[in-house]
Amino acid sequence: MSSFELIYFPLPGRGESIRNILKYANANWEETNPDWPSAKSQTPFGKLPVLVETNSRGEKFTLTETRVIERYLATIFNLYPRNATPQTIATIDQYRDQYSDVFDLFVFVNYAKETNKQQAFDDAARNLVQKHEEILRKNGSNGHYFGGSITYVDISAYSLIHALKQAGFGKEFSEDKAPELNKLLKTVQSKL
Amino acid sequence: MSTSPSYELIYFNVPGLGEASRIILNLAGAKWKETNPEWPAFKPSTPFERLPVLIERSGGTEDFVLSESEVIERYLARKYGFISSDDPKLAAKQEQVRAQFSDARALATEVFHHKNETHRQRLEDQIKLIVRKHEELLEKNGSNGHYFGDKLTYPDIVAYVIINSLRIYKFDVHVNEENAPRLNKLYKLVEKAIAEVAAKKQ
Repeated sequence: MSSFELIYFPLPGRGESIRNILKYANANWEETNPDWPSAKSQTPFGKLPVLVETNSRGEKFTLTETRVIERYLATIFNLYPRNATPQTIATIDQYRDQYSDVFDLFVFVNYAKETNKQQAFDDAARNLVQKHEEILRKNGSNGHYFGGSITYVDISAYSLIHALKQAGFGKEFSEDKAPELNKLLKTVQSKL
Repeated sequence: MSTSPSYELIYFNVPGLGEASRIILNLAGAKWKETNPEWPAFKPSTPFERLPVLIERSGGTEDFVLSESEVIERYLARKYGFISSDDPKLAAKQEQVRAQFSDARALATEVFHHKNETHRQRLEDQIKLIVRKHEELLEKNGSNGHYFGDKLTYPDIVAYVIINSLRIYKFDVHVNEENAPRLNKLYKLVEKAIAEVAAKKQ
């Protein structure tokens, strides 16, 4: 059985979804928080997160890029629906990718201090909530994006919203503005 | 008997976020057409008020509608064999190479489209780093103008698209022949493949 090492900063950010997927999958994993930027040159492409998988023969597989890591783990830990068609897989990846613009804008405002992007963030977050509340309702208001069980997008959404809320950017994701998403948050939380 | 699907790509009449999908559809010989809608009038007709949108029509079954440019690319790339469909590690590696370009592309949009000069240095640094790392990757694969094996895969196509956008923005000094010889070899191979398909159509 493989063991995993997640290399990232000690904050939710772009690593939280990976942590939670590994937790949910009951993977054998640990985290390393390296000195940064001194550890840059030791990473494949100078960026975090990095995932290192070591198989039972001691061979290592190293992967970067947050969403690529999420999708790889979702594939090997069966966090796509059972017997998913290519269309279903793409539909779920589509829901997940929608969070990226919102998150990138959050990074601009919160870390790069580009306050002129605050409005863009608010609009993007509001738009995301509006569309995704509908998706969750259409799926039966059961706290899942697809079907009746957890898929990786549930975990990613939970993690990203958690990161936003923790940083004080959760205004559009409140209980009364986003009841379905908050139901999803509770559903995922209960299973982690 | 099911008919092979036909595609409609809905996007603006620019390379942008639609170009890689266009190239995949062309190289695959898929049956497809493009629609350039009135914008923002067309917004309510889209699932998420954004473009591009891909519609797959398979005669008899319901249309399949997909948003998010990279998800569309990946769906088509998998369908037409430009990404491994049976080796999760290889597929992840191929997607990883592609994903490297995403940050740079977003930064380039900031700098050149939104005229946000504060990111120009970071963009330049990122491009230089990508070039350095990718010249290494291409060398490890035998300097044959491909990222993986000896044929054109999805990341090759995206690299070609990104180099083209940098040329359009006149920000391509770091990806020129002298600074990026293997990337330029890759560029020419993709360009040749596209030209061959276009010639067949005539």
